Amino acid sequence: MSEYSELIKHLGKIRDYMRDFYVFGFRSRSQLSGRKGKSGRSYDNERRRIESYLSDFMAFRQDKNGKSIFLSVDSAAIPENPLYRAFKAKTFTKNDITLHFCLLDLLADGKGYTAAQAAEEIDSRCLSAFGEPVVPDLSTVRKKLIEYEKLGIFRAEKNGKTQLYFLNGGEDTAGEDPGISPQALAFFSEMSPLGVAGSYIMDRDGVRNRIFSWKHHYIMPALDSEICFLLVQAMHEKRKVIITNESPRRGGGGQLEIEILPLKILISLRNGRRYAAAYHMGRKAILTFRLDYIKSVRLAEESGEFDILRKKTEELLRQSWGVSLGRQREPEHLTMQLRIEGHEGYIADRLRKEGKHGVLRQLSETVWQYDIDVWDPSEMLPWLRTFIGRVLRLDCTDPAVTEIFYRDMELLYESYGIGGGDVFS
Amino acid sequence: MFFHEIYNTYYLAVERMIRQAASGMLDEKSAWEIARETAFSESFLYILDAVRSETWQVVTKDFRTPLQNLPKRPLTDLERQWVAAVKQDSRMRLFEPETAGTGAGAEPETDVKQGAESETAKRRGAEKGRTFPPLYSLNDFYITDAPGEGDPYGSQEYRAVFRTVLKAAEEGGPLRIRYVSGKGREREDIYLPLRLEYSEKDDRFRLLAQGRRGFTILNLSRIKECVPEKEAAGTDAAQEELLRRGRRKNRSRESAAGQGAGDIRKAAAGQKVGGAHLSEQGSAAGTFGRRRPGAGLSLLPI
Repeated sequence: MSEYSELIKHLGKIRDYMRDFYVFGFRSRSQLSGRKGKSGRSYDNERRRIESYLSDFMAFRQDKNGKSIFLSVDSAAIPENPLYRAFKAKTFTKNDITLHFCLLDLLADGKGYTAAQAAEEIDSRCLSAFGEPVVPDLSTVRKKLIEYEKLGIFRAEKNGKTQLYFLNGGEDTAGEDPGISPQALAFFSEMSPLGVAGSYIMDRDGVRNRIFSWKHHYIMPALDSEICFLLVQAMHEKRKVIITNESPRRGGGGQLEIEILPLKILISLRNGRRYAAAYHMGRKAILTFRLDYIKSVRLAEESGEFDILRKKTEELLRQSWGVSLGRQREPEHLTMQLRIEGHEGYIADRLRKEGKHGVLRQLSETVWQYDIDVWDPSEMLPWLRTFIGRVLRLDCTDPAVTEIFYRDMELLYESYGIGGGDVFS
Repeated sequence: MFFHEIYNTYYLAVERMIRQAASGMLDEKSAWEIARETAFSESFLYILDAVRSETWQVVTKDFRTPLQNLPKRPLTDLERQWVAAVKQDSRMRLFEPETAGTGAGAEPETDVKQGAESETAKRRGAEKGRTFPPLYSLNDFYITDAPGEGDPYGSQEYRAVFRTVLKAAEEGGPLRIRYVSGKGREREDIYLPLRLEYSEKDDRFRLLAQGRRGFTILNLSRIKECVPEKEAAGTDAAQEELLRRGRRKNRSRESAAGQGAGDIRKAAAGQKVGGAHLSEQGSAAGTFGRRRPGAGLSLLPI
C-alpha cells in the first residue's frame, strides 16, 4: 500500500471529491465512496488532503446516515478563491526542489552555463554544505534546464556547439515585473477565465487581495481550469481533442471517450456553469458539453474546418437563449402577451433588458407582446415563470414548452388548493 | 503546463526559509511558522522532516543555506501569457494610468544604451522584445447571459472616480462623495471606504463604506464627485467615530467588509495587515461542527 502524501500527481480525483463535498455535502463516507466505486481508503485520503488544503472551510454534520463532511464557503466573504489551493499541491521529487533553487541561485549572476558547468557548480557550491550530498547526474540537470526553458524561466542560447542557459529576467534578483499592478492582479485573478495563473503570480509576489469583495461569484468553475486551458489551447491550434466525458444524465453512467472540435467556451453568469461548444465528430453536429463532466482532454490532430464551424457557432449563439443549440434546423418561435399597467414601466424595462434578441411591442394601453426566435425555448421557462400573474397568453411552435408551462401552473394551483378557472386569472 | 510543481506552496515556503537562512535568522521555530503560514495545514510536518533529514539539499539540518544569491523566480510563459490576455479586458483601463497617444500602460524602452551596448543591456533588450501571445482571447469565450449594460469603463470621469476610490480603499482615508441615488436625489457626505465590491452578473462596482448614517453601499456609476477628505480625516478618533456610528444593515456584506475597517486602522497605524478572515458559518444549527484551522492531524472518527 502506498504511503499517504499531502500532494497530488493529477487534479482529476481531488477535483471530483472537492466538488462532491461542496455540492453534495450531505453524503456520508459510505455513500460517496460507494457511488464512485472507490474504496473507503481512497475517500479517507482525499478527505484528508482536502481538509489540509481547505481547513478553514471544512465543517461536518452528524445525522442518521453518519458523519457528512462538507465545504462551506461564503463567496461574498472570501477575498480569494480557496479552491485555487488544489493547483498548488503538485508532487515533486527531491531532485526537483533541489535543482529548482540551486539553478536559480547559480544563474542569478547573469552568466550563462552549459548543463555540465551547471552540474559541476551545483555540486561544489551548493551540495558540499551537506553531510551526505546527493549529486544529481548530468542528464537530470540537463532535463531540468530544458524543462525550465520550456516553462520560460530559463533562456537557451547557442554558443558554438554548446547550449548556454540564462535566467530570464536578467540578473535582477528583485525579479521580473509582471507588468500589471497588484490591484489589477488581485481583481483579475478572480474575475478572468483561468484566473489561477494570476493567483500563481500573486503568490510569487506576495500580493494579497485586501480591497475587493465579490457579489454573484461562483467559485466552482476554478476546478475546471485545467480542462478549460487545454480546450482553449486546442482552439488556438485548431485541433480536435479526445475528451473523457462522464455525464450523470447518460443512462448506465460510466465514462465515454468522444472526439470533438472545441469551438467556444460558454459561460453562464447566472448559474456559474461553463460549457464547451464543440463539433461532435461522430454525430456531426455542434453540441455543448459541461466542463465539470469532462474528466480529461487529449489533444488530437488539426482540423481544417475550425474557422467555418466557429463562425457557424457564433451565428447559432445569436439565436440561443442559454447554452442549448437545439436541433439547429429552424428556430422555434415563442410569443408571450402580458398585462402591464401604466405605472409598471419597470416590467417593460425588465423585458427589454433581459429579453435578449426578443422584440417587445405595446399592443394597447395595458397589453404588451414579446416575441422571440430561439433554438431551444425550454431554456426560457424559468425566466417566463417570473412573469406569472401578468401572462395573458403563451404560444410556442414547440408545443412541449407551452404544455410544461400550463401543466406547472395547474400543479401550482393544486398545491395551493386553488382549483379550476383560467390558469392566468 | 497549467499544473506544475513550480507553483507548489512547498516551494514558496522553502523559498522563504532560504531567504531567512541566508540572513542567519532561520531556526526550527521560524521554519515551523513559515511552513504553517505559507503551505497547507499538515505541510509543516513534511517540510520540517525534509529539512531535518536534509532530503531537500537547500537548507541544512541546522537551518543554514549555501544559497546566498537567490533571486525571485522569473515569471513562467503561462503567467506572462495570462497577463497579456487580461490586458485585452476593457476593465484593465480602470487600473492603468491615463496616457495620451500611446495608449494606457505603454512603457517606453529606456534601458538600451546608445553606442556600445553592454551584453547585459543587449540581453535585456532581447528579453523585453519578446512578445507573448495571450493565453486566451476574448473571442474564445461567450457569456450566455451577459448584462445589458454595466458600468461605463470608457468614461474618463468614471475611471477617475474608480482610481480615487481604489486609492482610498487601499490607504484607508475617508472620501467626500457627491452621489445621485436611483431616484435622482443628490447628496454629499463623508465616507470611509471599506471594500470595492464587484458583480460580474451585472458588471458593476459598488463601494461598501461606512458613512455617518451607518454602513452604506454606493454604486460607483452614480458617484458624481469624489475627493479625499483630508480635513475630516483629522485624528484617529474621527475615523473611529465614523466606524462606531450607524445602524446595522445588510449583515453579510457588512461583516465581509467590516474586517476591512480593522485592516484600514492597522494600515493607517503602519502595522502589517493580515489576510481577510471568514465570517462565521454553520454555527446556527446545533449538529454542525467546524474544524479548527491546523487540526488536520486529528482525524475525526466516521
